[in-house]
Amino acid sequence: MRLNKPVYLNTLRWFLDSPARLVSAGLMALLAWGMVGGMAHVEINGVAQGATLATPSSLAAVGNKVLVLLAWILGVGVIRREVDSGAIQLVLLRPLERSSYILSKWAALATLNLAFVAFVYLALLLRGGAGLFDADLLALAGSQAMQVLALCSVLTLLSAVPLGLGELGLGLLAAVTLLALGHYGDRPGLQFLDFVSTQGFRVLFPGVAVENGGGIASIALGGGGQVLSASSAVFNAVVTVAGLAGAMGLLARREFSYSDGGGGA
Amino acid sequence: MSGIDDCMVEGEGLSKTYRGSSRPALDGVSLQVGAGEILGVIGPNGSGKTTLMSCLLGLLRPDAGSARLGGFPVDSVQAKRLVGYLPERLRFDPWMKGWDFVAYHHALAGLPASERAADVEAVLHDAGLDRQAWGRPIRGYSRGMLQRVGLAQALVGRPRCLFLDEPTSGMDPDGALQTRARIEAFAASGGAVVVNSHQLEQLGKLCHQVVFLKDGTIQAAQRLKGEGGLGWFVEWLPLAGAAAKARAVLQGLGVAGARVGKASVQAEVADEAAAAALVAALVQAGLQVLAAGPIKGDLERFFTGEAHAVE
Repeated sequence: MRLNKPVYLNTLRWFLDSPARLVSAGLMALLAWGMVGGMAHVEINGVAQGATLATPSSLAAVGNKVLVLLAWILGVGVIRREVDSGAIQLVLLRPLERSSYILSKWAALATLNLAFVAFVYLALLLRGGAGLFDADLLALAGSQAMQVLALCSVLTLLSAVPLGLGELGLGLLAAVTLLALGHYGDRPGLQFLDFVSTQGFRVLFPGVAVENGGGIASIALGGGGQVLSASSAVFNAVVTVAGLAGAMGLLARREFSYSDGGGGA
Repeated sequence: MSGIDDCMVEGEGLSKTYRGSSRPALDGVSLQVGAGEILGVIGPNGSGKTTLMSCLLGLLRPDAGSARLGGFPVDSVQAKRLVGYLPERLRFDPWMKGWDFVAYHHALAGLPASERAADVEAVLHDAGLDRQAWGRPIRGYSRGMLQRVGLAQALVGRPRCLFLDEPTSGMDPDGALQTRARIEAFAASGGAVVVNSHQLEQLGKLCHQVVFLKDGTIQAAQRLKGEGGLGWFVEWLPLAGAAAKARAVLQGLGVAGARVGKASVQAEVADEAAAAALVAALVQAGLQVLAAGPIKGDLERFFTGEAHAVE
Protein backbone atom coordinates (compact mmCIF):
# COMPACT_ATOMS: atom_id res chain seq x y z
CA MET A 1 0.00 0.00 0.00
CA ARG A 2 1.40 3.34 -1.01
CA LEU A 3 0.27 6.76 -2.14
CA ASN A 4 -0.95 6.86 -5.72
CA LYS A 5 0.25 10.19 -7.11
CA PRO A 6 -2.33 10.56 -9.93
CA VAL A 7 -5.26 9.92 -7.55
CA TYR A 8 -3.75 12.28 -4.97
CA LEU A 9 -3.18 15.11 -7.45
CA ASN A 10 -6.54 14.59 -9.14
CA THR A 11 -8.31 14.82 -5.79
CA LEU A 12 -6.50 18.07 -4.99
CA ARG A 13 -7.64 19.43 -8.35
CA TRP A 14 -11.21 18.34 -7.58
CA PHE A 15 -11.15 20.31 -4.31
CA LEU A 16 -9.92 23.40 -6.10
CA ASP A 17 -12.37 23.04 -8.99
CA SER A 18 -15.46 23.88 -6.96
CA PRO A 19 -16.20 27.60 -6.45
CA ALA A 20 -18.41 26.70 -3.45
CA ARG A 21 -15.55 24.88 -1.70
CA LEU A 22 -13.10 27.66 -2.53
CA VAL A 23 -15.43 30.38 -1.21
CA SER A 24 -16.08 28.36 1.96
CA ALA A 25 -12.36 27.81 2.53
CA GLY A 26 -11.72 31.51 1.88
CA LEU A 27 -14.35 32.52 4.44
CA MET A 28 -12.85 30.13 6.98
CA ALA A 29 -9.41 31.60 6.32
CA LEU A 30 -10.79 35.12 6.85
CA LEU A 31 -12.44 33.97 10.05
CA ALA A 32 -9.21 32.44 11.31
CA TRP A 33 -7.25 35.53 10.28
CA GLY A 34 -9.65 37.74 12.21
CA MET A 35 -9.73 35.51 15.27
CA VAL A 36 -5.98 35.18 15.70
CA GLY A 37 -5.60 38.89 14.98
CA GLY A 38 -8.23 39.61 17.57
CA MET A 39 -6.36 37.48 20.06
CA ALA A 40 -3.13 39.26 19.40
CA HIS A 41 -4.60 42.75 19.60
CA VAL A 42 -7.50 42.76 21.98
CA GLU A 43 -8.19 45.92 23.91
CA ILE A 44 -10.09 45.79 27.17
CA ASN A 45 -11.39 49.09 28.53
CA GLY A 46 -9.20 50.93 26.05
CA VAL A 47 -6.06 49.21 27.23
CA ALA A 48 -4.21 47.19 24.61
CA GLN A 49 -3.68 43.65 25.84
CA GLY A 50 -1.06 42.83 23.23
CA ALA A 51 -0.69 39.16 22.47
CA THR A 52 -1.44 38.02 25.95
CA LEU A 53 -4.97 36.95 25.11
CA ALA A 54 -3.85 34.41 22.55
CA THR A 55 -3.02 31.32 24.51
CA PRO A 56 -2.65 27.70 23.52
CA SER A 57 -6.03 27.04 25.09
CA SER A 58 -7.80 29.63 23.00
CA LEU A 59 -6.03 28.41 19.88
CA ALA A 60 -7.00 24.84 20.68
CA ALA A 61 -10.59 25.96 21.10
CA VAL A 62 -10.47 27.79 17.77
CA GLY A 63 -9.04 24.69 16.14
CA ASN A 64 -11.69 22.45 17.63
CA LYS A 65 -14.39 24.53 15.93
CA VAL A 66 -12.86 25.97 12.76
CA LEU A 67 -10.76 22.97 11.73
CA VAL A 68 -13.68 20.58 12.19
CA LEU A 69 -15.96 22.81 10.15
CA LEU A 70 -13.44 23.23 7.34
CA ALA A 71 -12.65 19.53 7.19
CA TRP A 72 -16.33 18.70 6.87
CA ILE A 73 -16.81 21.31 4.15
CA LEU A 74 -13.88 19.98 2.14
CA GLY A 75 -14.35 16.31 2.87
CA VAL A 76 -17.95 15.78 1.84
CA GLY A 77 -17.96 13.58 -1.24
CA VAL A 78 -14.24 12.81 -1.27
CA ILE A 79 -14.99 9.19 -2.19
CA ARG A 80 -18.77 9.01 -2.34
CA ARG A 81 -19.18 11.29 -5.34
CA GLU A 82 -16.96 8.98 -7.43
CA VAL A 83 -18.89 5.93 -6.21
CA ASP A 84 -22.24 7.57 -6.91
CA SER A 85 -21.22 8.66 -10.40
CA GLY A 86 -19.60 5.34 -11.25
CA ALA A 87 -16.30 7.07 -12.10
CA ILE A 88 -14.56 5.01 -9.41
CA GLN A 89 -14.97 1.84 -11.46
CA LEU A 90 -12.70 3.07 -14.24
CA VAL A 91 -10.13 4.10 -11.62
CA LEU A 92 -10.23 0.74 -9.83
CA LEU A 93 -9.71 -1.07 -13.14
CA ARG A 94 -6.30 0.58 -13.36
CA PRO A 95 -3.28 -1.13 -11.81
CA LEU A 96 -3.54 0.27 -8.29
CA GLU A 97 -4.54 -1.33 -5.01
CA ARG A 98 -7.84 -0.21 -3.51
CA SER A 99 -6.01 0.58 -0.27
CA SER A 100 -3.75 2.98 -2.21
CA TYR A 101 -6.82 4.70 -3.58
CA ILE A 102 -8.15 5.28 -0.02
CA LEU A 103 -4.75 6.41 1.24
CA SER A 104 -4.40 8.89 -1.62
CA LYS A 105 -7.87 10.35 -1.09
CA TRP A 106 -7.19 10.78 2.62
CA ALA A 107 -3.78 12.32 1.95
CA ALA A 108 -5.23 14.89 -0.44
CA LEU A 109 -7.91 15.88 2.07
CA ALA A 110 -5.32 16.01 4.85
CA THR A 111 -2.95 18.14 2.76
CA LEU A 112 -5.49 20.94 2.36
CA ASN A 113 -6.49 20.85 6.01
CA LEU A 114 -2.88 20.79 7.18
CA ALA A 115 -2.24 23.78 4.93
CA PHE A 116 -5.03 25.53 6.80
CA VAL A 117 -3.43 24.71 10.18
CA ALA A 118 -0.18 26.17 8.86
CA PHE A 119 -2.08 29.23 7.70
CA VAL A 120 -3.57 29.79 11.18
CA TYR A 121 -0.11 29.83 12.79
CA LEU A 122 1.30 31.96 9.98
CA ALA A 123 -1.55 34.39 10.54
CA LEU A 124 -0.74 34.49 14.24
CA LEU A 125 2.88 35.21 13.40
CA LEU A 126 2.03 37.89 10.85
CA ARG A 127 -0.46 39.58 13.16
CA GLY A 128 1.96 40.14 15.98
CA GLY A 129 1.87 36.92 17.91
CA ALA A 130 5.55 36.03 17.45
CA GLY A 131 6.09 36.14 21.17
CA LEU A 132 3.61 33.32 21.69
CA PHE A 133 5.68 30.72 19.89
CA ASP A 134 7.03 28.58 22.69
CA ALA A 135 7.24 24.85 23.35
CA ASP A 136 3.59 24.68 24.42
CA LEU A 137 2.39 26.33 21.25
CA LEU A 138 4.53 24.08 19.05
CA ALA A 139 3.18 21.03 20.90
CA LEU A 140 -0.31 22.34 20.27
CA ALA A 141 0.49 22.80 16.57
CA GLY A 142 1.64 19.19 16.36
CA SER A 143 -1.44 18.02 18.20
CA GLN A 144 -3.69 19.99 15.86
CA ALA A 145 -1.92 18.41 12.90
CA MET A 146 -2.85 15.03 14.38
CA GLN A 147 -6.37 16.32 14.89
CA VAL A 148 -6.59 17.14 11.19
CA LEU A 149 -5.27 13.74 10.14
CA ALA A 150 -7.86 12.04 12.36
CA LEU A 151 -10.69 14.23 11.09
CA CYS A 152 -9.79 13.45 7.50
CA SER A 153 -9.62 9.76 8.33
CA VAL A 154 -13.11 9.83 9.89
CA LEU A 155 -14.48 11.68 6.85
CA THR A 156 -12.80 9.23 4.47
CA LEU A 157 -14.40 6.37 6.37
CA LEU A 158 -17.85 8.00 6.29
CA SER A 159 -17.43 8.69 2.58
CA ALA A 160 -16.70 5.02 1.94
CA VAL A 161 -19.76 3.72 3.82
CA PRO A 162 -22.08 2.12 1.24
CA LEU A 163 -25.29 3.75 2.47
CA GLY A 164 -27.24 6.42 0.69
CA LEU A 165 -27.12 8.86 3.62
CA GLY A 166 -23.94 10.66 2.64
CA GLU A 167 -21.27 11.88 5.05
CA LEU A 168 -23.46 14.59 6.57
CA GLY A 169 -26.37 12.21 7.05
CA LEU A 170 -24.16 9.56 8.61
CA GLY A 171 -22.46 12.14 10.84
CA LEU A 172 -25.82 13.49 11.96
CA LEU A 173 -27.16 10.00 12.64
CA ALA A 174 -24.07 9.13 14.66
CA ALA A 175 -24.22 12.40 16.61
CA VAL A 176 -27.90 11.93 17.47
CA THR A 177 -27.21 8.35 18.56
CA LEU A 178 -24.31 9.48 20.75
CA LEU A 179 -26.43 12.26 22.26
CA ALA A 180 -29.13 9.72 23.10
CA LEU A 181 -26.56 7.44 24.71
CA GLY A 182 -25.20 10.36 26.69
CA HIS A 183 -28.73 11.27 27.83
CA TYR A 184 -29.18 7.86 29.44
CA GLY A 185 -25.64 7.87 30.79
CA ASP A 186 -26.56 9.56 34.07
CA ARG A 187 -28.88 6.74 35.13
CA PRO A 188 -27.75 4.21 37.68
CA GLY A 189 -25.94 1.31 36.10
CA LEU A 190 -25.76 3.01 32.71
CA GLN A 191 -22.81 5.29 33.36
CA PHE A 192 -20.82 3.45 30.72
CA LEU A 193 -23.14 4.96 28.10
CA ASP A 194 -21.85 8.39 29.04
CA PHE A 195 -18.30 7.17 28.48
CA VAL A 196 -19.28 5.67 25.12
CA SER A 197 -20.99 8.90 24.12
CA THR A 198 -18.00 11.06 25.11
CA GLN A 199 -15.47 8.88 23.33
CA GLY A 200 -17.78 8.55 20.33
CA PHE A 201 -17.90 12.31 19.95
CA ARG A 202 -14.10 12.43 20.25
CA VAL A 203 -13.93 9.99 17.34
CA LEU A 204 -16.59 11.69 15.26
CA PHE A 205 -15.23 15.18 15.82
CA PRO A 206 -11.56 14.75 16.69
CA GLY A 207 -10.17 17.71 18.56
CA VAL A 208 -7.50 18.76 21.04
CA ALA A 209 -8.59 18.23 24.62
CA VAL A 210 -8.56 21.28 26.92
CA GLU A 211 -9.06 20.74 30.62
CA ASN A 212 -11.09 23.23 32.67
CA GLY A 213 -12.62 25.15 29.85
CA GLY A 214 -11.66 25.67 26.28
CA GLY A 215 -14.87 26.43 24.49
CA ILE A 216 -15.86 29.52 22.56
CA ALA A 217 -16.24 31.49 25.79
CA SER A 218 -12.64 30.79 26.70
CA ILE A 219 -11.47 32.36 23.45
CA ALA A 220 -12.95 35.71 24.42
CA LEU A 221 -11.52 35.34 27.88
CA GLY A 222 -8.12 34.52 26.58
CA GLY A 223 -8.30 30.79 27.03
CA GLY A 224 -7.82 29.27 30.41
CA GLY A 225 -7.27 25.64 31.09
CA GLN A 226 -4.61 23.25 30.11
CA VAL A 227 -4.12 21.88 26.63
CA LEU A 228 -3.70 18.11 26.66
CA SER A 229 -1.59 17.94 23.51
CA ALA A 230 0.09 14.61 24.11
CA SER A 231 -2.99 12.58 25.03
CA SER A 232 -4.96 14.20 22.21
CA ALA A 233 -2.24 13.35 19.72
CA VAL A 234 -2.18 9.70 20.78
CA PHE A 235 -5.96 9.41 20.69
CA ASN A 236 -6.12 11.06 17.26
CA ALA A 237 -3.35 8.84 15.93
CA VAL A 238 -5.40 5.80 16.89
CA VAL A 239 -8.51 7.32 15.27
CA THR A 240 -6.51 8.02 12.10
CA VAL A 241 -5.30 4.46 11.74
CA ALA A 242 -8.66 2.94 12.65
CA GLY A 243 -10.54 5.19 10.24
CA LEU A 244 -8.25 4.43 7.35
CA ALA A 245 -8.32 0.70 8.07
CA GLY A 246 -12.12 0.84 8.17
CA ALA A 247 -12.37 2.72 4.87
CA MET A 248 -9.94 0.31 3.21
CA GLY A 249 -11.88 -2.66 4.54
CA LEU A 250 -15.17 -1.27 3.22
CA LEU A 251 -13.79 -0.61 -0.26
CA ALA A 252 -11.94 -3.92 -0.45
CA ARG A 253 -15.19 -5.83 0.04
CA ARG A 254 -17.26 -3.68 -2.27
CA GLU A 255 -18.57 -4.80 -5.66
CA PHE A 256 -19.47 -2.56 -8.56
CA SER A 257 -21.63 -2.98 -11.60
CA TYR A 258 -22.90 -0.53 -14.19
CA SER A 259 -26.05 -2.61 -14.54
CA ASP A 260 -27.46 -1.24 -11.30
CA GLY A 261 -27.13 2.41 -12.17
CA GLY A 262 -23.48 3.18 -11.72
CA GLY A 263 -23.10 2.86 -7.99
CA GLY A 264 -21.99 -0.01 -5.85
CA ALA A 265 -23.67 -3.34 -6.24
CA MET B 1 -16.85 -23.07 -25.91
CA SER B 2 -13.81 -24.93 -27.07
CA GLY B 3 -10.34 -24.08 -25.85
CA ILE B 4 -8.19 -21.77 -27.96
CA ASP B 5 -4.50 -21.04 -28.16
CA ASP B 6 -3.16 -17.71 -26.89
CA CYS B 7 -6.22 -17.11 -24.73
CA MET B 8 -6.43 -13.52 -23.48
CA VAL B 9 -9.86 -13.45 -21.83
CA GLU B 10 -11.12 -16.51 -20.02
CA GLY B 11 -14.21 -17.06 -17.93
CA GLU B 12 -14.80 -20.49 -16.39
CA GLY B 13 -18.17 -21.45 -14.89
CA LEU B 14 -19.06 -17.88 -13.88
CA SER B 15 -22.15 -17.68 -11.70
CA LYS B 16 -23.56 -14.67 -9.90
CA THR B 17 -26.76 -14.08 -7.96
CA TYR B 18 -27.35 -10.58 -6.64
CA ARG B 19 -28.27 -10.18 -3.00
CA GLY B 20 -32.03 -10.18 -2.58
CA SER B 21 -32.64 -11.98 -5.85
CA SER B 22 -33.57 -15.63 -6.16
CA ARG B 23 -32.76 -15.78 -9.87
CA PRO B 24 -29.10 -15.99 -10.92
CA ALA B 25 -27.93 -13.10 -13.11
CA LEU B 26 -25.24 -15.40 -14.45
CA ASP B 27 -25.32 -19.16 -14.32
CA GLY B 28 -22.21 -21.17 -15.18
CA VAL B 29 -20.98 -19.10 -18.11
CA SER B 30 -17.68 -20.12 -19.71
CA LEU B 31 -16.00 -18.38 -22.61
CA GLN B 32 -12.61 -17.71 -24.13
CA VAL B 33 -11.33 -14.94 -26.37
CA GLY B 34 -7.98 -15.35 -28.09
CA ALA B 35 -5.47 -12.72 -29.16
CA GLY B 36 -6.70 -10.96 -32.30
CA GLU B 37 -10.31 -12.02 -31.74
CA ILE B 38 -13.47 -9.99 -31.27
CA LEU B 39 -16.27 -11.61 -29.26
CA GLY B 40 -19.77 -10.15 -29.40
CA VAL B 41 -22.18 -10.73 -26.53
CA ILE B 42 -25.83 -10.29 -27.42
CA GLY B 43 -29.01 -10.88 -25.52
CA PRO B 44 -32.17 -9.17 -24.35
CA ASN B 45 -32.16 -6.62 -21.53
CA GLY B 46 -31.52 -8.31 -18.19
CA SER B 47 -29.94 -11.35 -19.82
CA GLY B 48 -26.70 -10.92 -17.83
CA LYS B 49 -24.46 -9.20 -20.40
CA THR B 50 -23.22 -6.43 -18.14
CA THR B 51 -22.93 -8.78 -15.17
CA LEU B 52 -20.76 -11.05 -17.32
CA MET B 53 -18.56 -8.12 -18.32
CA SER B 54 -18.33 -6.93 -14.70
CA CYS B 55 -17.21 -10.43 -13.60
CA LEU B 56 -14.65 -10.63 -16.39
CA LEU B 57 -13.33 -7.22 -15.31
CA GLY B 58 -13.21 -8.08 -11.61
CA LEU B 59 -15.72 -5.39 -10.61
CA LEU B 60 -18.08 -8.12 -9.42
CA ARG B 61 -16.98 -11.22 -7.55
CA PRO B 62 -18.66 -14.31 -9.01
CA ASP B 63 -20.29 -16.70 -6.53
CA ALA B 64 -18.69 -19.54 -8.46
CA GLY B 65 -16.16 -19.83 -11.25
CA SER B 66 -13.16 -17.69 -12.11
CA ALA B 67 -11.96 -15.17 -14.66
CA ARG B 68 -8.45 -14.59 -16.00
CA LEU B 69 -6.99 -11.96 -18.28
CA GLY B 70 -3.78 -12.79 -20.10
CA GLY B 71 -3.45 -15.76 -17.74
CA PHE B 72 -3.57 -13.60 -14.58
CA PRO B 73 -6.39 -13.62 -12.01
CA VAL B 74 -8.71 -10.80 -12.94
CA ASP B 75 -8.27 -8.86 -9.69
CA SER B 76 -4.48 -8.87 -9.89
CA VAL B 77 -2.46 -5.77 -10.77
CA GLN B 78 -0.93 -7.70 -13.71
CA ALA B 79 -4.38 -8.33 -15.19
CA LYS B 80 -5.35 -4.69 -14.69
CA ARG B 81 -2.36 -3.60 -16.76
CA LEU B 82 -3.98 -5.41 -19.71
CA VAL B 83 -7.47 -3.91 -19.50
CA GLY B 84 -9.24 -1.12 -21.32
CA TYR B 85 -12.94 -0.58 -20.61
CA LEU B 86 -15.62 1.57 -22.17
CA PRO B 87 -18.79 1.38 -20.04
CA GLU B 88 -22.28 1.83 -21.39
CA ARG B 89 -23.09 4.46 -18.79
CA LEU B 90 -20.64 7.23 -19.59
CA ARG B 91 -20.36 8.76 -16.13
CA PHE B 92 -16.96 10.33 -16.15
CA ASP B 93 -15.70 13.12 -13.89
CA PRO B 94 -17.80 15.98 -15.32
CA TRP B 95 -15.52 18.70 -14.02
CA MET B 96 -12.48 17.40 -15.89
CA LYS B 97 -11.52 18.47 -19.38
CA GLY B 98 -11.36 15.79 -22.04
CA TRP B 99 -7.58 15.97 -22.36
CA ASP B 100 -7.06 15.95 -18.58
CA PHE B 101 -9.39 12.98 -18.15
CA VAL B 102 -7.50 10.85 -20.66
CA ALA B 103 -4.14 12.05 -19.29
CA TYR B 104 -5.29 11.08 -15.77
CA HIS B 105 -5.98 7.53 -16.95
CA HIS B 106 -2.62 7.45 -18.72
CA ALA B 107 -1.01 8.29 -15.38
CA LEU B 108 -3.18 5.76 -13.51
CA ALA B 109 -2.04 3.11 -15.97
CA GLY B 110 1.49 3.79 -14.74
CA LEU B 111 2.83 4.85 -18.14
CA PRO B 112 5.78 7.27 -18.34
CA ALA B 113 4.95 10.97 -17.99
CA SER B 114 7.38 11.75 -20.80
CA GLU B 115 5.11 9.90 -23.24
CA ARG B 116 1.85 11.29 -21.91
CA ALA B 117 1.27 14.21 -24.27
CA ALA B 118 1.98 12.17 -27.40
CA ASP B 119 -0.08 9.16 -26.22
CA VAL B 120 -3.08 11.25 -25.19
CA GLU B 121 -3.06 13.20 -28.43
CA ALA B 122 -2.83 9.96 -30.43
CA VAL B 123 -5.79 8.24 -28.73
CA LEU B 124 -7.97 11.35 -28.75
CA HIS B 125 -7.25 11.73 -32.44
CA ASP B 126 -7.89 8.02 -33.06
CA ALA B 127 -11.17 8.15 -31.15
CA GLY B 128 -12.29 10.99 -33.40
CA LEU B 129 -12.88 13.61 -30.70
CA ASP B 130 -12.88 17.08 -32.23
CA ARG B 131 -9.67 18.87 -31.21
CA GLN B 132 -11.63 21.91 -30.03
CA ALA B 133 -13.35 19.73 -27.41
CA TRP B 134 -10.10 18.49 -25.86
CA GLY B 135 -9.82 21.53 -23.60
CA ARG B 136 -13.50 21.72 -22.65
CA PRO B 137 -15.04 20.25 -19.46
CA ILE B 138 -16.67 16.88 -19.99
CA ARG B 139 -19.93 18.14 -18.47
CA GLY B 140 -20.64 19.93 -21.76
CA TYR B 141 -20.07 16.89 -24.00
CA SER B 142 -22.78 15.29 -26.13
CA ARG B 143 -23.41 11.52 -25.96
CA GLY B 144 -21.30 11.00 -29.09
CA MET B 145 -18.41 13.03 -27.66
CA LEU B 146 -18.62 11.07 -24.41
CA GLN B 147 -18.38 7.84 -26.40
CA ARG B 148 -15.26 9.13 -28.10
CA VAL B 149 -13.51 10.36 -24.96
CA GLY B 150 -14.51 7.10 -23.26
CA LEU B 151 -12.97 5.10 -26.08
CA ALA B 152 -9.80 7.21 -25.85
CA GLN B 153 -9.71 6.49 -22.10
CA ALA B 154 -10.10 2.76 -22.79
CA LEU B 155 -7.25 2.76 -25.29
CA VAL B 156 -4.80 5.07 -23.51
CA GLY B 157 -3.40 2.46 -21.14
CA ARG B 158 -2.10 0.35 -24.04
CA PRO B 159 -4.49 -2.51 -23.22
CA ARG B 160 -4.35 -6.03 -24.61
CA CYS B 161 -7.95 -6.83 -23.63
CA LEU B 162 -10.61 -4.32 -24.58
CA PHE B 163 -14.12 -4.46 -23.07
CA LEU B 164 -16.70 -2.32 -24.82
CA ASP B 165 -20.31 -1.91 -23.68
CA GLU B 166 -22.45 -0.50 -26.50
CA PRO B 167 -19.47 1.31 -28.04
CA THR B 168 -21.33 3.04 -30.87
CA SER B 169 -24.71 3.89 -29.36
CA GLY B 170 -25.29 7.62 -29.71
CA MET B 171 -22.69 7.98 -32.46
CA ASP B 172 -23.46 9.23 -35.94
CA PRO B 173 -22.89 6.69 -38.78
CA ASP B 174 -19.51 8.19 -39.59
CA GLY B 175 -18.39 7.92 -35.98
CA ALA B 176 -19.67 4.34 -35.75
CA LEU B 177 -17.65 3.42 -38.84
CA GLN B 178 -14.51 5.05 -37.39
CA THR B 179 -15.00 3.24 -34.10
CA ARG B 180 -15.47 -0.08 -35.86
CA ALA B 181 -12.28 0.50 -37.83
CA ARG B 182 -10.42 1.36 -34.61
CA ILE B 183 -11.64 -1.82 -32.88
CA GLU B 184 -10.69 -3.94 -35.89
CA ALA B 185 -7.24 -2.36 -35.94
CA PHE B 186 -6.85 -3.10 -32.23
CA ALA B 187 -7.75 -6.76 -32.79
CA ALA B 188 -5.50 -6.94 -35.85
CA SER B 189 -2.60 -5.84 -33.64
CA GLY B 190 -3.17 -8.90 -31.43
CA GLY B 191 -5.61 -7.53 -28.87
CA ALA B 192 -8.68 -9.37 -27.61
CA VAL B 193 -12.04 -7.59 -27.63
CA VAL B 194 -15.34 -8.29 -25.88
CA VAL B 195 -18.28 -6.20 -27.13
CA ASN B 196 -21.75 -5.97 -25.59
CA SER B 197 -24.25 -4.59 -28.05
CA HIS B 198 -27.82 -4.68 -29.26
CA GLN B 199 -26.76 -3.54 -32.72
CA LEU B 200 -26.74 -6.85 -34.59
CA GLU B 201 -25.72 -5.23 -37.87
CA GLN B 202 -22.59 -3.78 -36.24
CA LEU B 203 -21.75 -7.00 -34.43
CA GLY B 204 -22.24 -9.04 -37.58
CA LYS B 205 -19.62 -6.95 -39.38
CA LEU B 206 -17.25 -6.63 -36.45
CA CYS B 207 -17.10 -9.90 -34.54
CA HIS B 208 -15.27 -13.15 -35.11
CA GLN B 209 -17.68 -14.94 -32.83
CA VAL B 210 -20.91 -14.10 -31.05
CA VAL B 211 -22.54 -15.63 -28.00
CA PHE B 212 -26.22 -15.25 -27.22
CA LEU B 213 -26.91 -14.80 -23.54
CA LYS B 214 -30.34 -15.29 -22.00
CA ASP B 215 -31.37 -15.82 -18.38
CA GLY B 216 -27.72 -15.78 -17.39
CA THR B 217 -26.64 -18.66 -19.59
CA ILE B 218 -25.10 -18.93 -23.04
CA GLN B 219 -27.95 -20.21 -25.18
CA ALA B 220 -25.99 -20.34 -28.43
CA ALA B 221 -22.65 -19.46 -29.94
CA GLN B 222 -21.86 -18.59 -33.52
CA ARG B 223 -18.53 -18.15 -35.28
CA LEU B 224 -18.82 -15.46 -37.94
CA LYS B 225 -15.28 -15.08 -39.27
CA GLY B 226 -12.18 -17.20 -39.68
CA GLU B 227 -12.15 -20.98 -39.59
CA GLY B 228 -15.71 -22.21 -39.20
CA GLY B 229 -17.07 -18.74 -39.88
CA LEU B 230 -20.09 -18.00 -42.02
CA GLY B 231 -18.36 -15.55 -44.38
CA TRP B 232 -19.93 -12.82 -46.54
CA PHE B 233 -22.50 -12.83 -49.30
CA VAL B 234 -22.69 -10.81 -52.51
CA GLU B 235 -25.96 -10.56 -54.40
CA TRP B 236 -26.58 -9.27 -57.96
CA LEU B 237 -29.36 -9.02 -60.54
CA PRO B 238 -29.70 -11.92 -63.03
CA LEU B 239 -29.90 -9.71 -66.12
CA ALA B 240 -30.10 -11.22 -69.59
CA GLY B 241 -26.69 -12.37 -70.77
CA ALA B 242 -25.16 -11.81 -67.36
CA ALA B 243 -24.64 -15.45 -66.48
CA ALA B 244 -21.54 -15.93 -68.64
CA LYS B 245 -19.96 -12.71 -67.34
CA ALA B 246 -20.68 -13.68 -63.76
CA ARG B 247 -19.27 -17.15 -64.26
CA ALA B 248 -16.05 -15.66 -65.63
CA VAL B 249 -15.75 -13.28 -62.67
CA LEU B 250 -16.35 -16.07 -60.16
CA GLN B 251 -13.82 -18.34 -61.82
CA GLY B 252 -11.30 -15.49 -61.97
CA LEU B 253 -11.59 -14.95 -58.21
CA GLY B 254 -11.77 -18.62 -57.33
CA VAL B 255 -15.28 -18.41 -55.90
CA ALA B 256 -16.87 -21.86 -55.82
CA GLY B 257 -20.24 -21.01 -57.28
CA ALA B 258 -23.48 -19.10 -56.87
CA ARG B 259 -27.08 -19.80 -56.00
CA VAL B 260 -29.51 -18.63 -58.66
CA GLY B 261 -32.84 -17.38 -57.42
CA LYS B 262 -35.81 -15.83 -59.18
CA ALA B 263 -34.86 -12.23 -58.39
CA SER B 264 -31.17 -12.43 -57.64
CA VAL B 265 -27.98 -14.47 -57.75
CA GLN B 266 -25.97 -14.88 -54.56
CA ALA B 267 -22.41 -16.02 -53.97
CA GLU B 268 -20.64 -16.61 -50.67
CA VAL B 269 -17.02 -15.70 -49.95
CA ALA B 270 -14.75 -16.03 -46.93
CA ASP B 271 -14.53 -12.48 -45.61
CA GLU B 272 -15.10 -8.78 -46.13
CA ALA B 273 -12.04 -8.29 -48.32
CA ALA B 274 -13.08 -11.12 -50.66
CA ALA B 275 -16.58 -9.66 -50.82
CA ALA B 276 -15.20 -6.24 -51.75
CA ALA B 277 -13.08 -7.78 -54.49
CA LEU B 278 -16.06 -9.68 -55.89
CA VAL B 279 -18.29 -6.59 -55.87
CA ALA B 280 -15.62 -4.59 -57.71
CA ALA B 281 -15.17 -7.32 -60.33
CA LEU B 282 -18.91 -7.75 -60.89
CA VAL B 283 -19.43 -4.01 -61.32
CA GLN B 284 -16.50 -3.86 -63.72
CA ALA B 285 -18.10 -6.66 -65.72
CA GLY B 286 -21.27 -4.59 -66.05
CA LEU B 287 -23.40 -6.48 -63.56
CA GLN B 288 -25.77 -4.75 -61.14
CA VAL B 289 -24.87 -5.58 -57.55
CA LEU B 290 -27.82 -5.50 -55.14
CA ALA B 291 -26.24 -6.11 -51.75
CA ALA B 292 -23.24 -7.43 -49.88
CA GLY B 293 -22.69 -8.13 -46.20
CA PRO B 294 -21.82 -10.68 -43.52
CA ILE B 295 -23.86 -13.84 -43.40
CA LYS B 296 -25.69 -13.46 -40.12
CA GLY B 297 -26.63 -17.04 -39.55
CA ASP B 298 -28.58 -17.29 -36.34
CA LEU B 299 -27.84 -13.78 -35.03
CA GLU B 300 -31.31 -12.37 -35.59
CA ARG B 301 -33.11 -15.63 -34.96
CA PHE B 302 -31.52 -15.72 -31.49
CA PHE B 303 -33.86 -12.92 -30.56
CA THR B 304 -36.95 -14.62 -31.94
CA GLY B 305 -36.51 -17.81 -29.95
CA GLU B 306 -35.30 -19.92 -32.85
CA ALA B 307 -31.71 -20.19 -31.76
CA HIS B 308 -29.78 -23.36 -32.36
CA ALA B 309 -28.25 -25.35 -29.54
CA VAL B 310 -24.85 -24.39 -28.11
CA GLU B 311 -21.91 -25.59 -30.17
